[in-house]
Amino acid sequence: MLAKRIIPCLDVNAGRVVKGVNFVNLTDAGDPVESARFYEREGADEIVFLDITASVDNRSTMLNVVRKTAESIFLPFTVGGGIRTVDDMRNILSNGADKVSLNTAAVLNPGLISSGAAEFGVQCIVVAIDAKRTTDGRKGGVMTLPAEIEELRISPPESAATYEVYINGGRKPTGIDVVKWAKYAAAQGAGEILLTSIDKDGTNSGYDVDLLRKVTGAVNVPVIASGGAGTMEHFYEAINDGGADAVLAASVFHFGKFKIAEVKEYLSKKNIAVRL
Amino acid sequence: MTTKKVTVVDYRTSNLLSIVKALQKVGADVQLTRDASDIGKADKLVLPGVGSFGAAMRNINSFGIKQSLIDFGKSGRPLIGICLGMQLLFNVSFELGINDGLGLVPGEVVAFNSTVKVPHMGWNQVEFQKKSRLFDELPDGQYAYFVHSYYVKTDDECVSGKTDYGLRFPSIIERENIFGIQFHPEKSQTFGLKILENFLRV
Repeated sequence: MLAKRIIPCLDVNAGRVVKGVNFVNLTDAGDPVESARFYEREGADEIVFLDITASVDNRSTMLNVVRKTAESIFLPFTVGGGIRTVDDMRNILSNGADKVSLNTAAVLNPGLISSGAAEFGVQCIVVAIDAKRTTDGRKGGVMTLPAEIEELRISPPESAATYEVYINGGRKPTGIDVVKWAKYAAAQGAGEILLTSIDKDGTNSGYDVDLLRKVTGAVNVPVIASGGAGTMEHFYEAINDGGADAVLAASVFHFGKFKIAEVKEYLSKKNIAVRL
Repeated sequence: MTTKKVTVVDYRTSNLLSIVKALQKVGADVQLTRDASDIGKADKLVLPGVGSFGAAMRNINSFGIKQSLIDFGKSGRPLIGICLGMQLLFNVSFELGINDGLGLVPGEVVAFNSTVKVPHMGWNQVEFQKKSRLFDELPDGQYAYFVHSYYVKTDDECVSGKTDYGLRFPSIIERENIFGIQFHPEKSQTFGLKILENFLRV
């Protein structure tokens, strides 16, 4: 049976892990490669690197991280952050990453999803969506959208629980409906959706199950739940109630609140298939 | 561990680095090539692959190595296809049109139906169907990492391992000197590395 995946996420800035693994005796806790190795030993099913480097100058630093990681771990890993072109994708994939994650660039240039999928296969293309609940039936913001996705705008009046796509690291509202965008992205060649709740992110109060349910019910590709993990029960809810295929978390693992193996034991006892 | 020579076919597929370092990890002396005469002289051959079937066959044709791959498969020397590389061993694929494969193993490559999420992505179990040299010192039912949207349909006699995803599809195939694995051994931690090590011993 296909196992539900547990995925730790590492934020990398200029080649260094920020908010990194701070509870174990790593020689260098800021080293992304060492952090990845740590999580491989801990039983992670995949690893996600999010490159939050602002400067374009540091792109080659990230490629170096990708290459060293690929040489060190025998586990799939995804790289997101700042990927804007098919060449960017090629650089990351040819250095050994298994998947690239597109976010802002996919909204600003939706053709990137299909060109990436055509070049590398849908299995390499993750579309990351940062979602925020909107209750005011907004008319979809004021941002100008690429013509081909204009129809994905939230169309008022909507019922209370609509979710809006945000870009630029969760700072800029787009007016795009999350469910419509997820369906569009999957149809264009996204092999997986990484769905982050901005409302829940950093709260440790649980994943946004309603958001998850809406998206997992709308697409036929795997969905990774992200944002809000605080207890082991939260992982169960995201999978069992939200329909998530994988659950991503950062701080609960980095700070050692519990171990990946403990989460898996817990899920296994609740009859969720995991790789023990 | 003694070093064992293995030739990996480099026909521009993006997961080459990971395959190479996994093979090196288990003691292989890896040579990369897209040259027909190197393929002809190889002791053992690895055919990797990610991406689409048609694009892969076009690359193989454009490097002029299709016939050398077929000849190698018929030579009795060990050949292993990995993921898309396994699918290429078969007669035909229905991924994005109809494309002929290498025809070394009878069967065809077809899409999962819409009752399951596609791609089949993540860790799933491999159930051994018979004794295989690839399974030395390995327990049955281990998890391996899969990423694919198509699977092979072939004669049961060619199937050494099966995996359940809506249906039980062949995840390891074997026909005399020719092996194929649908999952990614280079991403399947100790289980995957052991399979590669066992291949080096064939």
